[in-house]
Amino acid sequence: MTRYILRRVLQSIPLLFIISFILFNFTNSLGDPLAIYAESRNRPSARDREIILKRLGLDRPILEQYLIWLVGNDWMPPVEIPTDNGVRYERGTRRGVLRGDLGISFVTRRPSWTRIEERLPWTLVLMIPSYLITVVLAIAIGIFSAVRQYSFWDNLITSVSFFFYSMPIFFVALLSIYIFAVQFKRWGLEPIKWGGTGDGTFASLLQHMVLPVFCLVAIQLAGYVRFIRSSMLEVLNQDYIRTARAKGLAEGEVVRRHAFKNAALPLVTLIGLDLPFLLAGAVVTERIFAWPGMGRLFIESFERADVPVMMTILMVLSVAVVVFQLLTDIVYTWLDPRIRYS
Amino acid sequence: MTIKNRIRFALAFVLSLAMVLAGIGAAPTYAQDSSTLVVGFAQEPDNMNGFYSAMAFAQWANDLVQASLYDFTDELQPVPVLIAEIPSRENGGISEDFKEYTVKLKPGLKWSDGKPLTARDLVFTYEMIENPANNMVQGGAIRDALEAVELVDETTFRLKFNAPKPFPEDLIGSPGLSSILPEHVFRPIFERDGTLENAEENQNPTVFSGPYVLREWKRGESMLFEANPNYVFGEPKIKRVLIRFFPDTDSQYAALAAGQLDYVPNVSEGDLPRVAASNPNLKLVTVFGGYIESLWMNLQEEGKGPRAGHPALKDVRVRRALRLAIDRETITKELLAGATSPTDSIYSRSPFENKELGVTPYAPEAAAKLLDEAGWTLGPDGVRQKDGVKLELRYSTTTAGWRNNIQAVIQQQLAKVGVSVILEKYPASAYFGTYANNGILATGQYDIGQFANNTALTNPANVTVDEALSCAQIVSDDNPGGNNWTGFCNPEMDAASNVTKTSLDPKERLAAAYKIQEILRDEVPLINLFPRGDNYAYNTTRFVGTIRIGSGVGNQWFDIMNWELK
Repeated sequence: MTRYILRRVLQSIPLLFIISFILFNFTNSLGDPLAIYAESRNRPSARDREIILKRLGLDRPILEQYLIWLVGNDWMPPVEIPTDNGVRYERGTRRGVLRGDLGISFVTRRPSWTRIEERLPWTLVLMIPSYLITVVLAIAIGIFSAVRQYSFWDNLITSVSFFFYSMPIFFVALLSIYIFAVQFKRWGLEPIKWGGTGDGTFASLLQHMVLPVFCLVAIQLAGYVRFIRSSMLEVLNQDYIRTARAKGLAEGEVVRRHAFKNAALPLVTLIGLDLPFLLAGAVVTERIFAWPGMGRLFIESFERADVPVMMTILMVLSVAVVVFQLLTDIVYTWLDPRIRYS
Repeated sequence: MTIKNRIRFALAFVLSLAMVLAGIGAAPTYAQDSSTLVVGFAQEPDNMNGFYSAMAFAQWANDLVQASLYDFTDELQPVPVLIAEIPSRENGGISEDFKEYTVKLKPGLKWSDGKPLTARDLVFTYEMIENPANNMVQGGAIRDALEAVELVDETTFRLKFNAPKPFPEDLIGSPGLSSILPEHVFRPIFERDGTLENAEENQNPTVFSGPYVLREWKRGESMLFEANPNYVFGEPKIKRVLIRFFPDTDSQYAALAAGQLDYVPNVSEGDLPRVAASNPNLKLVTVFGGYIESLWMNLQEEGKGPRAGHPALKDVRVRRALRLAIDRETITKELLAGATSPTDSIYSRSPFENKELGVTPYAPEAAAKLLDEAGWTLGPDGVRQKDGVKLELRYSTTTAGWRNNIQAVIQQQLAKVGVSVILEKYPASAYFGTYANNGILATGQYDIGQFANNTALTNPANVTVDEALSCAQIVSDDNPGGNNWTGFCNPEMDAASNVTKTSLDPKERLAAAYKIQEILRDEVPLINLFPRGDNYAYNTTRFVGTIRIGSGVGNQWFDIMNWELK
């Protein structure tokens, strides 16, 4: 098992290099960080812009920029900066990703990791509860509708969950704001507050989470419910379930201990695939509810072509995907003793 | 552990994590009462040092905490803030040759931390702007003009320029110099790092001169400001200002309608009707700030680097026909709620606008006639053509929704006179990219480009004419840093533009500005659509009386010390 884990970790290293190279090329082609100055009131002169480009290293070929991203530029010859009286030489200060320096945000000029640190906790505060609620509800509802297949309740649950599933998230979000905040106030009810994370108290945080969590659960739930329902149905038709019933076990016992435990295995794969993306946040939901999360940070960085921040976010996600894939495989052996890796 | 227990464990874990985080983030709590104004911003400022940001929202946040030497009112009247009086030739503040300014500060000024704010801070600020190591992108105009700065006494400093400078506001007032750096904070940073460019103080400033001080910045969420008791006009009546960031304008408007926001400075023209309808207590104010939305023609020549525009655009008759074929009146009325009106002048809504030139009317028949004259005749498919070339133009703009609406309407209007346009839209970061970085406009990947230009409202030296339309600035392989993306060149206009910048005679400057307007009306390198207002909305139930909001060219909060909440 240890050898298996070691092998997987070693395999992932070249993979991450390839991913980072592709992403670096991709993020660099998304736009120009200096474009912000075009419509501004005091446009910097051509020379000022040249200095910015040189300091950020954007005047170099893309392969060289990638190399600097990886191993820094503090060992390179100094950069020539044009000034009124000749040239100034400035030494590079970047140490590169491989030495723990993820670069400086083009926009705020602070380390890009600082920007992630500010946003990651809030993303998790929003995403983890939504995900847990989604999975717990989906398990309960999925089992319920599998056991009562084609009943009135099964049909009703299926219809409602598909109704939300087919709705675009921005519509659900704006509709919920409209109903629970704007209209509630007109009807004389206490409106639910939204926008941001509240005034710093826990109660206020919870209140501000209500609408975004509701929206995230509403649109995600149906997928999981259908998944659990179908994998439960498959198991419920197996011979060993008939055997369990024939033994005289109570129906609840059969469903919980024999059916669900076996049906849960594919669910672990699904969760393992989804978990790393909790770190990515929810772009639309975060935007609409003004939640200071990672999804918004990514979009805002995209709009300003802030390559270091985009790269940091994407690399955090890539590492998370690799790690969670490995964890999923390990959890498999724990859940199902028949599985062995070598 | 059973599944149930595992879930219980996970829930407990998340809940405790959330509580820990909420505890860490515990902030001064605020309530939306008579002491706290809640403002909604669509974007988060990127930098709190005014010399390093080109973002309007950063400028606005900065204007709350940094006092300018002087400001402009809503009626474009100058008001002294930190200076005792506005320098002029009459009061001896400006030398006979306009090359020397002597500026006097009010006595007894203080920074928010109680340290005296003196002419030494000003001298330091100008020195920092001048030093290329700082690369202050918003200080370029001052740096290029300044020869020396000297301290006269504790409240007086003198600026010497390399050429006559008729406009003090470009160099000492807002918008040219809208922040002053506290020497006691920034000098140690400069001595340590050799540059202020990456200073932590730019991101988390600690010392202020404006009506408010920045108390807390929750990244991605809000900025909390508290009244500055040391402000030159006294402590403002409103004790706290909370700026909350709503990146989605629909939810921002909903928060405004629901009363969660008291004041929003960024209502888009196209959204004015629905914002007004969403809550009867909202008052909308439009102030013109010198931005003009225009269609720019690609007149670049083949072979110099950038892609040349459609050959038809080279013929001035075609450009004039396009202007006649666009119904700008309907666009401003129907899409922009009548908040603005069409213009031909690049000096629109400024004292230098030549109103006698009038506005080209909507005249599709005249447009069709001009196009016929130019040899572009209707083809069998309804699209004009000449020598086998179709009159089909690439018309692009940014991804802003209101701009895309205008695109669609203009497409239909041009179709009526047999001009076909292909609509394109790009993210701003690609659209306005530099030549080296393959920017859409800079490399000529368009025939018609829609974006804004800006004009100073307080003097006739027009930055758009000077940079984006001058011969010397045409972008090419030889001049990749050029700001003129149209390829338009008219030496006569460049000469007039130079007069507006340097002449010491106001009448001569005005005549030159009129000349520029005439040339642009006749040559049509760009079709001005309408001046863009800055649209503010505020909730009247929260304020005592009506509030005065400053011009977009200066500082919207110029009168905030007199605002009062119920």
